[in-house]
Amino acid sequence: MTKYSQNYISTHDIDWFAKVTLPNGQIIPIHIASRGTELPDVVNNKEQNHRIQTKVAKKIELPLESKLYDDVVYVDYANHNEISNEDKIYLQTFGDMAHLGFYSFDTIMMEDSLTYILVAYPTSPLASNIMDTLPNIPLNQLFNILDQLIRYGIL
Amino acid sequence: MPVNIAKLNRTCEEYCGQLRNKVVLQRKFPKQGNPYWDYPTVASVCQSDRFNCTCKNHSRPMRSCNDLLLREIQNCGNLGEPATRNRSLYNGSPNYPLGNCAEQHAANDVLNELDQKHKPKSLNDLYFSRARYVRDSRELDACVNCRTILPNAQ
Repeated sequence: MTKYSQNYISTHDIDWFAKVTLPNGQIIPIHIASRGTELPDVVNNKEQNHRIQTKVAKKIELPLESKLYDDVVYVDYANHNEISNEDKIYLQTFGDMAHLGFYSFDTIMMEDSLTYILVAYPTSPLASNIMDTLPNIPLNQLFNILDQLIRYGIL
Repeated sequence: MPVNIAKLNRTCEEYCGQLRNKVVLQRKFPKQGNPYWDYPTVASVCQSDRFNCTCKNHSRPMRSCNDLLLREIQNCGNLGEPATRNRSLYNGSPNYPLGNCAEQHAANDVLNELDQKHKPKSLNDLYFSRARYVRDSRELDACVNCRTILPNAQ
């Protein structure tokens, strides 16, 4: 297993993937954009992450463009017609992941602590051949994602 | 020659789009040795106002750099490590390893290119686009290190 170096982690915005068991027993797949912040130990595995990234990328349709999906819920954007081009670019990678079945989160640093922000979530499940390859991550390593899921009525 | 910052900003936005495409294509059609597995966090464009030289680059570890830039970096600490001097400036802001930021890479490229002909004497002649996240082209402010080392970093 090769870990990412600290210098690589701090200079790259790594897409990482895992599955998490919620208090009600439901297991959900998550995607998080690292934005140059620390990775949890269980996902700090370059080969494992490359394998998942490759599987996921093969399902993303080309050409890449700022499109919105009807089967994705963009949590802060109820009306797709009112989304600016800048916001569409922001939403693109999160929407791509939610379209495949991931609950997709952005990362921000707030006063020296990490916060995960839910950007988009799916209305249909992730393909089982990808779900089976995801590492399990304990909910308590994911800071505030439970709050986010409750806030948006998912849990 | 006055620097057109708006043009640098547009160049940086286009560059972010090119980097995003490289990452997705590399994952979709993997090639050994291609460095673009993950989005670089930030991109920047740098231009010298005395000579017509513009370079774009992104955040990544820096192993060696132009002597002029290295001297300024060493006023803050060691290349590749968080700054050790002027600690009071950070006041809760992140202290990234020196040399890794997109602005410092773009400045290094301009200095290396100018060195061939002009031997620049100061970093005051270098101007920058707003830094942007590669993932979505959103703007962000230059970090404390960049503002300390590069007087015109925004």
